[in-house]
Amino acid sequence: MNMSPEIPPDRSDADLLRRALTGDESAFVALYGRLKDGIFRYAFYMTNSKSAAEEATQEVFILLLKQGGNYRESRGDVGAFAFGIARNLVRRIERRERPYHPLPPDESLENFSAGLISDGLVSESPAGEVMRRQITERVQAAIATLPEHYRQAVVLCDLCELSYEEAASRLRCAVGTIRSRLNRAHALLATKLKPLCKGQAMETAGPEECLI
Amino acid sequence: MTCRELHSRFEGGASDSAWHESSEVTGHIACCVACRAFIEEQRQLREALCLVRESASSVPESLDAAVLAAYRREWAKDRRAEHERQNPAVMRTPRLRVGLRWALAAAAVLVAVGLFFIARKHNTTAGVRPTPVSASPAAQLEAQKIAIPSVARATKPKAPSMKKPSRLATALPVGTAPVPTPAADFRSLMYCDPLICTQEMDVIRVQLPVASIGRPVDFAPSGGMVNAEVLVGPDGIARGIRIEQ
Repeated sequence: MNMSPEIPPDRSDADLLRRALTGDESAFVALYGRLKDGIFRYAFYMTNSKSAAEEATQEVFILLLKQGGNYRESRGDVGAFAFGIARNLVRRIERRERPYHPLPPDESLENFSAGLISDGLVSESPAGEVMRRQITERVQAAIATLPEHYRQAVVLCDLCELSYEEAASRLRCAVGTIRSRLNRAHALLATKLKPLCKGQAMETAGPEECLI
Repeated sequence: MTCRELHSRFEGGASDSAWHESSEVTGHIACCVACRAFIEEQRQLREALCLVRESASSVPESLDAAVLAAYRREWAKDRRAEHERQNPAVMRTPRLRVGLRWALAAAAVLVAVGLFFIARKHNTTAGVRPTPVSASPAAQLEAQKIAIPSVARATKPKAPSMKKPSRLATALPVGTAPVPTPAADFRSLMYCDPLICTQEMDVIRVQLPVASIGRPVDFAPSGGMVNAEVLVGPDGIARGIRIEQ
């Protein structure tokens, strides 16, 4: 196995992949370091399971080695190629786990008490930590109930912090499609998480009404 | 700014905090309850998503080690495959051995199956072939009794098989009574079916007391004795009898 002493940071992902396919372990490690966070987070948010995310991430890099010869630089960057593999793996894991992972009913979200998100409750105190964890779980559960294309937009843009252009490149669609999906997903999420906002919305509502 | 403009700007991606605090937005939501509620809802949703983003666990170190180990394993496998491709003899030997084992096993199975069928066929034909029925001791005794008073061994001749009665008749030597069709004239003894006796048989002429025949005769025997011809097989067992008038 070839071992190069170090990898310059300006080396492209495609070059790293080429070298990794020839047995350069340091190139593979460098490529893994660049891509692992995005793939792991995507898999984690999509499956809502850490173990499934680990499984998917490991499998992505093994498949990247096996199918790396099919990569064409003209069709997109290595990140998009790896993301395509990850997306297929996540779908497979979801199909496999679906019978054993019932989605939470919407009643649980409706019963969520209003005002938890206010600054006083979500604080650094132990109680605030508990509240924060509860909110996180509720929001993740709400995201999990979204249709897949909306969920992908939310995960990529809101949770993985990709730009619209990057998300469009990953999903192989137009930027406008990403925007509309994201807005629709936000509207659905807001509806599902209505009790979170109810208290403050009522407090801030004034006597005036929108006339336009 | 109108509600429609606010929503269209929001859907266009202008959802950062600077835009929220801009004068036109604050001016509009100050007088529009619905838009104020909408903006507030989106702000809270953004904060909730931020909480989820911050709570994300990082990639565990065990995963790093597992991925690296998987890479080394895959690469070693590829290298081994390439080595075998370059040196086919290395690859062929174990494969040949495995193939030879399978071929030997298949040949052994074929031989076993062939032997089984041959043995089965042999048994079947042996069962079909007519075998002389060994007579019961009583019948043998009776046949001996019949043969004892024999006056003459009429033939040594070739008593043909019962399937060919005409040959039997012609094969009898001169001076002996021609034997008609045995199937018609000879009465089968109880212990043997003469029709299945395909081997040569002797015809022995005997005199028997009427009482030993075991059934009445339709003529008057002289001195209580009757003449009879007995078909005796090569095994010495009497197979048929014919009473002479």
